[in-house]
This record gives sequence, C-alpha cells and structure tokens, in this order.
Amino acid sequence: MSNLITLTIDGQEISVPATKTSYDPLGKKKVEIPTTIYDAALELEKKTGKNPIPILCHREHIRPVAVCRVCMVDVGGWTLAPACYRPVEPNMKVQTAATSKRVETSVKILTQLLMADHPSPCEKQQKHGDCELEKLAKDFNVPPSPFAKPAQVKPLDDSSLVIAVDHNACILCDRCVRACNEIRDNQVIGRMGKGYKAQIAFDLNNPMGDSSCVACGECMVSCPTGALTNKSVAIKSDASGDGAKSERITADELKKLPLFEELSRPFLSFNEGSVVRRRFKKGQVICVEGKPGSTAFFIESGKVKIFLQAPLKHVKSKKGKDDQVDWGIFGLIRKFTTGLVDRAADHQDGAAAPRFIPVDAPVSLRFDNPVATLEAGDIFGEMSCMNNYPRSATVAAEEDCVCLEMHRNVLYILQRNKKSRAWLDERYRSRSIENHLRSVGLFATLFSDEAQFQHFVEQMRSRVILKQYTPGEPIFHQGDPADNFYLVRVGFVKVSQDRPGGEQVLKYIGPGGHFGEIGLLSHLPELRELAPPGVRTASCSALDHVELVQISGADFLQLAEQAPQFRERLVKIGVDTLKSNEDQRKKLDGVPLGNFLQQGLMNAQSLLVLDLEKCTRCDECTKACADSHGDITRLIREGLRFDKFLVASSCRSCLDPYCMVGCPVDSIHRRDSREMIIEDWCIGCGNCANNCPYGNINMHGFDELMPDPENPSQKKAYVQQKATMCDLCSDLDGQPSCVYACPHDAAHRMSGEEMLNLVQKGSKT
Amino acid sequence: MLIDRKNWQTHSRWCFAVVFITLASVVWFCCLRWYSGEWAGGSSPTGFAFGLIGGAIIVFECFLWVRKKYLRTWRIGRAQTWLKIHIWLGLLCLPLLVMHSGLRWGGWLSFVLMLLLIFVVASGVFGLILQNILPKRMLEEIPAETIYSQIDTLGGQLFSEADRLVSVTCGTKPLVTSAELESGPIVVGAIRTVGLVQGKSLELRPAVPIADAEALKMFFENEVASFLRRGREGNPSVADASKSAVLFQNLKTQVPPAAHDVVSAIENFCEQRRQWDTQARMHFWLHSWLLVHFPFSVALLVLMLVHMFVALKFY
Repeated sequence: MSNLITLTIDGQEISVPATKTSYDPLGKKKVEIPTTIYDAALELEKKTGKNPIPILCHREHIRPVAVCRVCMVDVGGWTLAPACYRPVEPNMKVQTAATSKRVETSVKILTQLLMADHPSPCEKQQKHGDCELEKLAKDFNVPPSPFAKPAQVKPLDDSSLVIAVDHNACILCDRCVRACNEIRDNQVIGRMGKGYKAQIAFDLNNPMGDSSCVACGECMVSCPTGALTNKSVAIKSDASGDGAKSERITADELKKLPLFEELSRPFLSFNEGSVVRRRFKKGQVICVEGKPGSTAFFIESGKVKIFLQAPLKHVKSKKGKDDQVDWGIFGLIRKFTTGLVDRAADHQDGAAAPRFIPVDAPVSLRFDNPVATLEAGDIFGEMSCMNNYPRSATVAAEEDCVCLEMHRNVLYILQRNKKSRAWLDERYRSRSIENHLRSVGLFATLFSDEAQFQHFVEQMRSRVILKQYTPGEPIFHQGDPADNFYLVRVGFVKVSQDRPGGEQVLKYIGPGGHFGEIGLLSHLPELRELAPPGVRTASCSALDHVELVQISGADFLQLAEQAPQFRERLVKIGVDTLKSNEDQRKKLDGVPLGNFLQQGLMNAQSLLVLDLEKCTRCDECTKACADSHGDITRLIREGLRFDKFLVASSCRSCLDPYCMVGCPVDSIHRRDSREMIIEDWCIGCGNCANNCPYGNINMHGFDELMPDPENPSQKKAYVQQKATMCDLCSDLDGQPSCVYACPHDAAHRMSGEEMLNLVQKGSKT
Repeated sequence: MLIDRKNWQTHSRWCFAVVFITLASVVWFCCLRWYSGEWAGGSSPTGFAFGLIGGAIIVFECFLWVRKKYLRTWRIGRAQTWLKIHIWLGLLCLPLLVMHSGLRWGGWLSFVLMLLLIFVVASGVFGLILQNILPKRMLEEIPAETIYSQIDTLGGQLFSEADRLVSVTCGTKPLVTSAELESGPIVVGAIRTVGLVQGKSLELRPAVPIADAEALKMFFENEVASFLRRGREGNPSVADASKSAVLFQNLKTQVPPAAHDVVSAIENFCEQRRQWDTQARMHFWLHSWLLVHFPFSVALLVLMLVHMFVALKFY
C-alpha cells in the first residue's frame, strides 16, 4: 500500500496516498501514477462538499494533460502549478483561487482568453445552458474580453448524421481526443495544425461524416463546450415489450429526476428514447426469468415482487416414474426415467448449501422462500442490460407501479457519472449491502448471532466502494501488490495465471463470489510457503460489464483479526486454492503434447474415450445413455480425436469452464472434485448450453404445474427447461451406462492424465 | 469384438476352457465309439447331454439380443462380458451339436438345423473377423469419419458450400438459390484429420468474383455437384482419388491463379465425400453380416424348439 502524504489545501489538512493505481491507455498494464493536487482536492471535497479547484480539460476518468491551466494553484513556488498534473508532496501548502488572489487572477485571465475566441453563447449554452467554459466565466465573474473576435469564422461541420462540429467553440482541451482514443479506443480524433490554426480533426482531417467515426457519442459527451453537440436526431427506440404502455421521456423531464439530474443534457438529448416510462397494474409481469433482456428498470413509484418461478429442483435419473418401477415389454423390462426432485428428496454430491440465490437485482433471494420486494428507487435488470444475459428472475408489480426502462447506453453513463454513481452507491449502502453480504457464502455462516452480523454490516456500510469494469479490463495483474478484497455483484471475473505457453484460466467468478483474499493473507504462516507475501498470485479481469464491491486491505485484515473463524475459513480457502493451482501447474508442466493441451483434455476428470480400433460404430453407448436419461442422450459419439481415441461429446469438466460464465442465477458450479454440477435453482435459460464450446450441455424439458404469476391462486402447466449434463449415471449406480453397454470394450471413462498415459504407452509399443 | 495380442489375456481363459471342453468331449465321444462300435447319436445319454448343453447355449446366445436391445441399462453384467461369452460359447456349441448329431445328417429337420447352425456360426465368425479388421482400416483410411447416419446430410452441406464458393467465384447464380448461400465470406482450409485440429487455421477472404473462372463452374456442374450430393452413385470420375487429382490439376490450368484456392477447397470437399463413401461401404460390411446371422439365429432357435418337441415326443 502507498505511503500517505499529508498536505494542506486552503489551510485544510488532508492525507492521501502518494500514488494511485491506473492503467496504461489500452488498459492492459497496471501502472502506479502519482496522486495529484486535484485528486487530493477531490478527497477533501468528500469531507467539505466543495472543490475549490476548477477544471476544464480534465476529468477524473481520463488521463490528465494540463493543457487548459484553469486548475492552477499556488504551491509556494514562483510559478503556479496545474493541480490536475502536479503530484502531491509532503507538507505541501496549496492555495487555490478561493484563497489566493494571484491564483484567482490567473484563472480569470485564462478564462477570459478562452472566452475571447468562444462564440458566446455557444450552441450548448443556447440549447441547454451547460457550457462549462461559460459557467466558469460566470462563476469567476470574468469580464467581457477586451480582444476582438476572430475575423475568420471556421465553417461548421454537419456531415455527421448525429453530431455537429463547431470548431469555433473548441477550446482544444483534448477531452474528445482522449475520449475517442483512450476510453473508446476508436482512434478517430486527433489534432492538426499549429498555433492559432490548431484544431481537432477526424482521421486525416476528413469531415466527421466521412471519417471512420462510429458515432458512439463519447466525444460529444466529453466536450465541455458547444464544439461537439448532438443534432437532435433521437435514436428511435422503444424499450417496451411486455405489455405495459410505454411513454417516451424527454431530456428535460429526465433532468428533473434525481438519478439523471447530473447527466449531461446533450447526452440525454442524444439518447432520447432510450428511457421510457412504463406503468404496470398490480400483478402484471414486468419480465420473465430465462427470457432474453437488454434493458434495466428503475422503479419510480410503487413496489414490485421479484421471485423465481422455476421449481427449485434438480434433474435426477431414476428407476421408473415416481420411484415406482416401470415395467415394460413382456413385464420383463425395467425402464429408467428422468425427472425433477428437490434437495430434500435427493441431495446431490457436492451441491452448494445456499441460503441465498443471486439475482439481477439489489436483493438476493432466500433459497427457502425465493421472493423479495423491490421499492421505489431500486434498479433491477442491470446484468441483462449491460451483458445481455437472460433475465434471472420473474418480476411482477406488487401494486400499481411506474418504472423507467432504460437501454444500455443510459445505464452505462449513469454508472460512470460521478453524481449518479454516488446516488446508486448510496442506495447500495443503505439498502442492498446487508442482503448482499448475507448472500456471499463466505459471510453467510460467519457470525453466530444476528447482532454480530448487523455490527459487521454497519462496519462495512461506510467502507465498501463499488467499482465498475468494462469487458476485458484488468482488475489486477499477477505480481501486483495486494491492496483490496473484492466481492462480485454484477458480471463475471476471469482469474488466470501467466504460465509458460500462455495464459491459463483458473476459474470464473460470478455474482456472489469473492476474490483477492490470498494476496492479503499471504503473510500468514499457513500461506507463507505457498504464495509470495503481499502480492497477487493470479490476474483478474472483467469478462463483461462487472461491478465489484471493494473492501480495502486494511479493513479486510482488521475484520480477519476480529473474527478468528473468518480468518480460519479464508486461510482454508486460500490453502485449498493454492494447492489446487499448484497441482494443476504440475500436471500441465509435465505434458509435452501441445495438441493434447490445445484440445483441453488435460483437465478432464472423466472423458468418454472410444478406442476407434475396437469401436464398431454400433452406437450402443448413445442408446444406453438415452435409455438411462428419459430418452434424451447426454452424449454424442462425435468429437475431437487424439491418436486412435475419439473423445466423445460429453461433459469433460474443462480447465476453462466457460459454461459457468453468464449463468444469471449462478446455478452451475464445480464440485470440489472439479466436476460440474447444476444446482436446483437453474431457471432453464440455456445460457450454459449455448456457452459450452463442445455442446455437452443439453436442455431437457419437464412437465410441471406451477403457479401462474399473473394469477397466483391458479396453477398452469409449463414445460420447465433444466440444463443437464453427463452425471456419470451417479443417480443410478455410478456405473456410466455408456461404458456398461459397450459390447466391444471400446468405451472407457478416464481422466485426461490417464488418457495421455495410455497414448504415450501405446506410442512406445 | 477386437481379439488381438493386447487383449488376448481377457479371452485366453475362455479360449482354453472352450478348447478343453471340446477336446474332452471329442475324447469322450471317440471312447464311446470305440466302446460301442458306433458314433453316439442324439438319443444316447451322451448325445442327449451334448444336445441339451448345445441347446441351452443357443438359448443363451439369443439372449444377447434381448440384453442389447431391451436391457441396455440393466446391471446384469457388462455387455462386453456377454459378448465375450457369446463368442466362445457359440464356438463351443458347434462341436457339441455335431457330436449330438452322431456325425449324421439325419432327417430333413436335423439336416436343416445343422445347416443353419453352420451358417450362424460361420456368419458370426465372419462378423468377428470383420470387427477385427474394419475398425482399424476405418481409423487409418477415413480421417474425416463422421456419424454414419449423418453422411447424407453432411454431403448436402458440402454441396451447398461448394455451390456457394463456385457461384461467388464465377459471379454466377448458384445451382440451389438461397439467401444463406449468397452471403458470407469464402472459407478455405484443410479438413480435420485424426489428432489434429486444423480448423483453426482456416483462411477467410472476401467473396468476390474472379474473371475467367467459367471453367470452374462447368467442372462443378458436370463432375462435382452430383458426386457431393449422392456420393459414388453420382459421378465416378471424381470418386476415384487418382482420377480426381488429375482432373483437378487440369482444372487449375484452365482457371486464373486467384481461383486456385477455391479449386483446392472443392478438391478437399471431394476428398471428404470420398472418405464418407468409403466409410459407408465399410459400415455396411461391418454390420451387414448381422443380416445373415440374426435371422438365421432366430430360425435356428425356432427349428430347435420344433426339433426338441419332435425328438422328445418320439423318444
């Protein structure tokens, strides 16, 4: 962790870390950058509620370049320093425009000079009154410029269908350049010309409409003035779809709502139509679990009920229907069937012991009663909206309610906007944190009584920070200093290690999961021999839009100190994880065959291997599998080949189990033995079946009578889909039927390692 | 079932048991001949015993079908154990029943029974020999092997893809018009072979017409299209690997070099289709012996029951 530096800003003392963590422009490499005076002022703002340092060319989420110089502060030298760029120093005394006449004069002159060329009021100021430069001039009472306006007016570029470019209003702050190239990585906008003729340009100074601009709008949203404005071409989109009438909301209306009030008006105008208001009558279904969704809902008024409709049961093969022996032909034949059973009737080996089921809402649902209520101010459907996951739960209006349904572009900006983010974070802290911490397996059984847990929640409430990551963005790299502990709230995180031959994925962590504990605890004697102290043993990155709850290392260690059982549990998890990783590494290091690894065979626990020298292609294995599982086969006698062996399509418990990614209710897991298991709360959306690269997960329909969500007193017949995969016939007697029924001794079950030994042995003889 | 040096150990005790029982029976049978002066017939105690054991073996042998057809998931012994017993007891029942006949053809029923038994055992042995040869050949000769029942469907897909490649290369309409066929890039690459994942190195390039490639269209329509659709029945000229190589080499001299990779891709398709034809042929031989073995076995069982009834009635 960085050393703290204490400095004084306008007489107020503040301590900040000497460095902060950032990433290189491509987001690949983590870098430590010095904390600036402006960062310190932001920290101070959290206490005082006011930031005395104005900015124009800088924003917290972009790299500082210090080109506009309006953030100048007096640090005691003979020149002023740009606060957005100048690193903090111990005992530094900073005076801002609020306390220093010299700084105030400087800011005024700079603003006046910028205003001299600015077509005041610019397009943005005229339409929405939020030109940052003109606001700055007003805030500092900048007198009108004594300089003449430029004689030559640059022509307007209205070649783009959606964005109008007025070079006259551009102050060359480069925010659009950094937004386009560094945030969006589109590499379209740059600078051209020198001196007074300098201006922004698209590609090789093409008109914007003829350039490679993808009209993402990032530059327009970033622009502080009217240089880049929307052309009021609203995206015609209608978020309705489930029966309730939708009302389009204008940007002006949205600006009046507390959640949206800090969003830039150009952005809201640009995206008008991306937010619609929908009114639902009591009992009306808003969204249905398992159905695809691409919008999020903000509850404006009223209450909604969120629940799981799918029966909390898992698929089980059994001998005859309803456990009655089903006698077939001539009264001789006993048939196997497949049905749904709950965990009271049948406990699956290695099944998790859940108390909560994570869903795409601020609450997690209790396993014993998967129903919860959301109220005004809550947002649900974020994961579906950001990552296009199927809806994780059914939502129906508990009373007449009004929801705002929004598309991804709006939610994305809401999550990035400082004020909206703060609003959402506050909602999380005040309303969701307790439920979330309860749903995290690590904390669920940590405290013996409710009072202890409540104390823990109160401790955490002010300490957690919500962090967002975009797809592919690194969270930390292997070898980085360990500074925080993370809980996954939305999305999936990939955990991998750099190994000779490339990156090796260790696991994926979804909602309700946690990571980062090993690096923080590696100084403990139990872990010291297994991991280097204080550094990350693996890299973590966001697979999709991820929201993490970050707990600082200090708070985490304090918690571990206070609760010995927590510490013990974490140490056990850490030791198990590190040993398992080490085993895997040893296994892989000993494998000389690239192709074997390429086919992902090494980590397989139980491959169905067919010896093609013996196999007569009679398909008895497939037929036996179908016979054992209600006439639906869970294997296909086709797949990758290695030497004389065919590895049939049947779940192989991959090293990189991509099927786990995207399960909206986190119902597909690995057992301790690394085999996959589908838990009772599978909602049958089919995401895992789509994700499995080998087609080894099948969807199996079961007839079920379930309450009608629109009329709970009545039951309706449904075909409930459940995901199924090879269970090695563990429900029957543990002898895989495919192998048992092979008459030619061609079908065998073996681990990847055993198969490799077999191949190597065969090649020697 | 493969019986070779590697797995002989699992068969050896069955083999020794069968040989031992056969030799013991033959010795006993010869001793009786020496003692009584004639070969023991079916009505003699020894002959009757041979008949009883042989008949029981035949009944058991027929149960393999029930086991495989209806009792796949029953835990009554692994199917391979059943098949192993089926093979060795099947071989044992022939000498036992020959001795049961007293080395005489007998009446028409006994004669037919003996003929059926010989056919059944011979067809079984023939099937066993094929099972020892053909899977290995399939492994070696058909790297593009697929599921047998999917061959026609996949052949249709190959034809569609080839049709699309040719039509976009020649700038003409495909033989079969569909929106799907007219769009998409050209994908060129090697087919999968055993142990290698070559699909990853497929080459992709935009689908643009190439001038002076009409010869490709002609060749495709005349020689390739029907072969890809119907296999060997369609057109034998590209069904033969060496002839096909010459034809495609000639074709490359008639089209511009830019179209060569498309020609190679279609040559690959033909090679794949040839392999599937070979697979279909081998698959037929691998399973068609059952067309003799199974009905003859059923006939043998039925006639054996008749024979038992008649024999016991007039004993």
